[in-house]
Amino acid sequence: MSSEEKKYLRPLIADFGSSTFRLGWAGGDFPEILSPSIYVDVSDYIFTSDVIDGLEEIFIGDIEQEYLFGEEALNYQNILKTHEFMKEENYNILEKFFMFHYQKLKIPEEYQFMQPIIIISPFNITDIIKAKLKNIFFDKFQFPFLLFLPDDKAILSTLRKSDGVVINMGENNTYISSIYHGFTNIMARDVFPIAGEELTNYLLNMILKGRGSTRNFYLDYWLAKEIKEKMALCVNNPKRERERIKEGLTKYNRVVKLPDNSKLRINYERFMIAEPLFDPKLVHIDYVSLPEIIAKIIKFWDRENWRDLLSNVILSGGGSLIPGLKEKISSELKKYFSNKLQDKIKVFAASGRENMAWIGASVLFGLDKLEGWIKNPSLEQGQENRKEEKS
Amino acid sequence: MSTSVEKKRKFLSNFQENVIQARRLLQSGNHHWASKLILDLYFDIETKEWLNAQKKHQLILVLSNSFWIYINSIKREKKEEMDFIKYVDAFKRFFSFLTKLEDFNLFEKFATKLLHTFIEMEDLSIDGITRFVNSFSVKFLDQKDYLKLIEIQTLLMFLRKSVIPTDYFRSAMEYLGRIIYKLEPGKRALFLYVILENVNIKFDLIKDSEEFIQIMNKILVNRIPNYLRDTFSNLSRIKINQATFNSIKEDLIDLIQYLNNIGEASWIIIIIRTLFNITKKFQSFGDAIILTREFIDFSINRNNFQIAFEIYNFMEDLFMLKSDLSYDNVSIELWAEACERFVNMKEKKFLLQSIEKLTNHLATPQKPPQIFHYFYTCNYVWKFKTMFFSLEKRDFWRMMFYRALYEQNDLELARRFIPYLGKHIRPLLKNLDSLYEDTKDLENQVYFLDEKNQHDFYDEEFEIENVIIRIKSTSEMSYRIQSLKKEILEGEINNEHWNDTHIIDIYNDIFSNDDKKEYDFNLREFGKILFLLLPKLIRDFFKQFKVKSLDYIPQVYFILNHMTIPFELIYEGNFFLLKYSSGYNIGEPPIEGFDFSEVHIESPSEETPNGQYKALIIDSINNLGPKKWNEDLKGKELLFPFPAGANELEFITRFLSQRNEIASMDIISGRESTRKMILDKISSDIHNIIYIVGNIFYSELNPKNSYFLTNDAKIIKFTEIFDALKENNNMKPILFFNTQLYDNEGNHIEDEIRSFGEIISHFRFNDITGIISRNYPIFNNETKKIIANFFSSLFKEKSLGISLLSARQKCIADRTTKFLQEQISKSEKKEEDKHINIENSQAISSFILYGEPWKHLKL
Repeated sequence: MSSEEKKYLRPLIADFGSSTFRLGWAGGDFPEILSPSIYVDVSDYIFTSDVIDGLEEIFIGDIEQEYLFGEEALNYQNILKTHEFMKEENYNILEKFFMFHYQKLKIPEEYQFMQPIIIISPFNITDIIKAKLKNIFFDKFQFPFLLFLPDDKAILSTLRKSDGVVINMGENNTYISSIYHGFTNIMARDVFPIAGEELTNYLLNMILKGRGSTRNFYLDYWLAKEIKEKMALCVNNPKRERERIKEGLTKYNRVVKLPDNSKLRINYERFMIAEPLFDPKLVHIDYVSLPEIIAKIIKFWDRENWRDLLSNVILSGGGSLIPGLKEKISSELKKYFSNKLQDKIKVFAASGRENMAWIGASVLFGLDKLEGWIKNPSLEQGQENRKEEKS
Repeated sequence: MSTSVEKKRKFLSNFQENVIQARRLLQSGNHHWASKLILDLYFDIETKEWLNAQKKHQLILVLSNSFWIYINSIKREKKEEMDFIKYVDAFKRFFSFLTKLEDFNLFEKFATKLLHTFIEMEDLSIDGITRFVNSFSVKFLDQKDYLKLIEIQTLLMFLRKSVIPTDYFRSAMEYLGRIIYKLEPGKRALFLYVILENVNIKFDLIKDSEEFIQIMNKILVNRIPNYLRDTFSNLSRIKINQATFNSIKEDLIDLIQYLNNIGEASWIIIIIRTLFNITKKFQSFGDAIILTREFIDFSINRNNFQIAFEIYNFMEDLFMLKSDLSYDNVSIELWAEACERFVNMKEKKFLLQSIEKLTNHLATPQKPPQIFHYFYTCNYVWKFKTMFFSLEKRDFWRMMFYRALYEQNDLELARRFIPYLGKHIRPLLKNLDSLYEDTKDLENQVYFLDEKNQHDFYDEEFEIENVIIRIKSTSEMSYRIQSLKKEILEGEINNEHWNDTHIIDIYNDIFSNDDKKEYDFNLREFGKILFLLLPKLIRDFFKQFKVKSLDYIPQVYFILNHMTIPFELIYEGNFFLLKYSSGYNIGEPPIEGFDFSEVHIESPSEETPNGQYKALIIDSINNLGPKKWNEDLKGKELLFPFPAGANELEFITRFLSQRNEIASMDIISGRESTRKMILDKISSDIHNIIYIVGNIFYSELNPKNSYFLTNDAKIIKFTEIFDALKENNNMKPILFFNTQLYDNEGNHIEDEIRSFGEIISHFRFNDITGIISRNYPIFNNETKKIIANFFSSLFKEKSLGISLLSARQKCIADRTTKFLQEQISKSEKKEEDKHINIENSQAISSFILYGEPWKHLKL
């Protein structure tokens, strides 16, 4: 195999996160492409005017490109309506989106669509979705192999662990799953109903509730998301901290300068953002808290396994980046276990955890531990045809 | 004018900051937030009551230009390089913004500009242009601008090469029919010809208008409504050539007059354009200009200002085509003339638009005659702009430079202004002397907009005895002059308003305690600047004094809305105005007018009547309290100390007690200085002089309720003092205030002159003779001398104004003598201000007389 072949025929790892798309060569340290999982339709403007007509026809009528993806779409975030194709489950766009980024890898034409594809998938991926993805990658693009790699397995492999509880916190979903000695337990996993999006909306509501009636005050989802990412934190006793703020505590005070030069002052909102994870009723969801569901999942395993699982609680995904989250989950988790086990609780929040699943997949490839490849049926058919032709 | 300048300045600086942010947002593609910010700014402008319509218009232009600059920045030569997504969105948001404005002209202006760019496009989408023109037509229909509706529908037909029978097309034809049926049949086809030709010229479609009309006739042939069919078929009979020119010209002039008579003047402009074109073609360009100019007079005389403005616009286009892009005298003079024509209108819309046009043409001059022309025009621009709230410093300094150099012939002063002029202009003024020599006589050759010598006082025989100058709250100025022969001249300054924003800046800078000074002017220079700021006519009054006032003292009386700057500091080239007898009325003048009866009872007598006057001295300097604890000193100290006041009290008590003219003197000071005692004395006892020294606690929200704090911890409001004076109205005393002012929070007010003026503007002076107040809490030998000399003159039955004047003059004389002696003894010769310096001027100018200066102390 020539060096070019070695370079371009390696598997590609694709992680279609609801917030971020990652694509890169297996064996690499980091994905080559990191791009927001968004797209815009070039004719779908946020602002619709009834004042002047015909400008689109005059200027954009003959533009070929219908959609823009990822970073390019982000440039028009305040002009065109931004769509999240993973949230919309729009596989038509997923196909175009992948193609757009695949071309950015600048693979020579003779090697194009010849790489095995590893798709990182949550544990609850359905057969229908798998079929849709196969349709795209096998039938339309004609890639030779496809592997659906569970994200928890990939994440654990990053830390070279064979057991643990993985909490993968994304923008749309928070997946909790557990693995013991490489085995999974279908009862010991769950999809927690609160993820990044709910937290952003909660922040937006908190801010608007206080200032909504103020003339000229305006804040959109994307800005709230940015504020959340930059300013959120977790405290052990939010009620007490709120009282301290009322008494004059200023350490939480931050001033956010909004694009229109107005200033938004926030303080308690910063630590309240993460509170729905510990009290879902705050966002009107009737569910137990995140630590409780972690405890329940651990308790699905035999009692003797709890110790190993408790000492390997792993946070991953962009949603887990909130400072103080690790400590709070750790302390809340203690409520559900005996004193003896409490000391064993260890929550890991590795740096770079937002890309942990992709990196784990790359590690697994390096260790040659990837199993379950699916071969493109059309290739098998082709080989059979060739065999038949030979015979 | 000058109220809340700080508030206005703050608003403008916020506005500027936000506009920059909006432009940044636009450039970063954040249209959503940018348009939100711009719209918020617009609503902010609209809700500011203190912004007049013209200033609002200016600020709105800044906002619309932000969009326009951005849109142009997206444009690229090559179509492939252009970001059409941003371009379209920016336009949509821009037009949406423009429709929210009250002023439809801006929407029309920008939409028409865009329409022009479409016409030039090679592969124009027919569907797109149809939708664009039709959405534009809705706006014209809303505005009832039927001519423009017909124009753009005709353009659409031409671009489509067909008729699309929409409601807008039908409306356009209907309105065309309506106007055509108002004309006599013989002129209908000509009028239609003019309308169609106008579309061709306006949008620059094809070279030959007759060909265009034929094309349009063909396009419309099957779609012309029955009522217009005959008129269209007659179009082909119209032939304009040398033979028919004269009759067509006459017909067109008839049409203009006819349309004006029947109230359809809005159609006139297109006929004027055609008239110009054919006159130029078959006569000459000069004849065409003369004819067009006649219609400016025609329109203005008939109060059709919109038409006049459009003719100016049309002429500007003509001149622009003829001249290159350098300094363009012709266009500048055209718009300066337009400004002058529109200046007296109540609605200043056209003036403002003309000023915008004028300033757009004011490019950097190069040759000396152009430099003169430039500053000469800047002087006019300042005059026009004073009618609006304008804070632009560059206008102020350009005007100052012109007036100093060419009106006052003061090269040194003009040189001092150069650093404040624009960076492109400064290098041109390096050799000021030769520039002045080359250009000083150009005034007789340059264009002139004012009426020269509008008053007889320029006649040597008119010797001015007194002048009343009134500056209204709306900044308009008026005057009343009386000659020694009792001739009266009255009038208003129509071509310039009072705008003291910049001069207050300089005044505050000179008198501020800051080490860092923005300006480097001495008091004499400031006086000259103040003088130059006055309209030419008022300056001429003062010059007149200079020439003829050797044997009598003229009176100057200022009626102001607010007291901001002591006008005594005006330096008319020879000396400060301090040498005149001057007084102030703050607020509205009395409804019954002023009583001049006392003006001429000046007694030459030097004898002083003995023992006739009664004085009351009131101490309210709060030297017994209130007090505050000082931890460092471990003791209490006075909260509102007034050492200068304490010294003055002591001085005035001693001084008055030694005067023979004073029959009796009541002194209320220390513990006796209670509310009851003070009010009782003022209301019941008879006093000719009431001398109050103390701290005033000023109420910004209700100045007349400002008060003194008495030593029994009670207060006396100004209203109570004036009520007490009213009760005891036999005597009409003179009030003498030496005060410090504090605001509600106990902070010392720096701007005492304005605040004190604000308080007394709420009172009528019927029950008193006048008020002398002090602007600075200083007490030194000079102030002592002035007080002593003032009372000495007053006791000799001199008027208030003359007494104050002579007190000042004596002080100045003493000071000058001392100064000269020092100079002689040092044998040094300095080129600096020899008359006066700031320190002693501060003492001299710190005395202000409120009330008529010709009044006397009553017995």
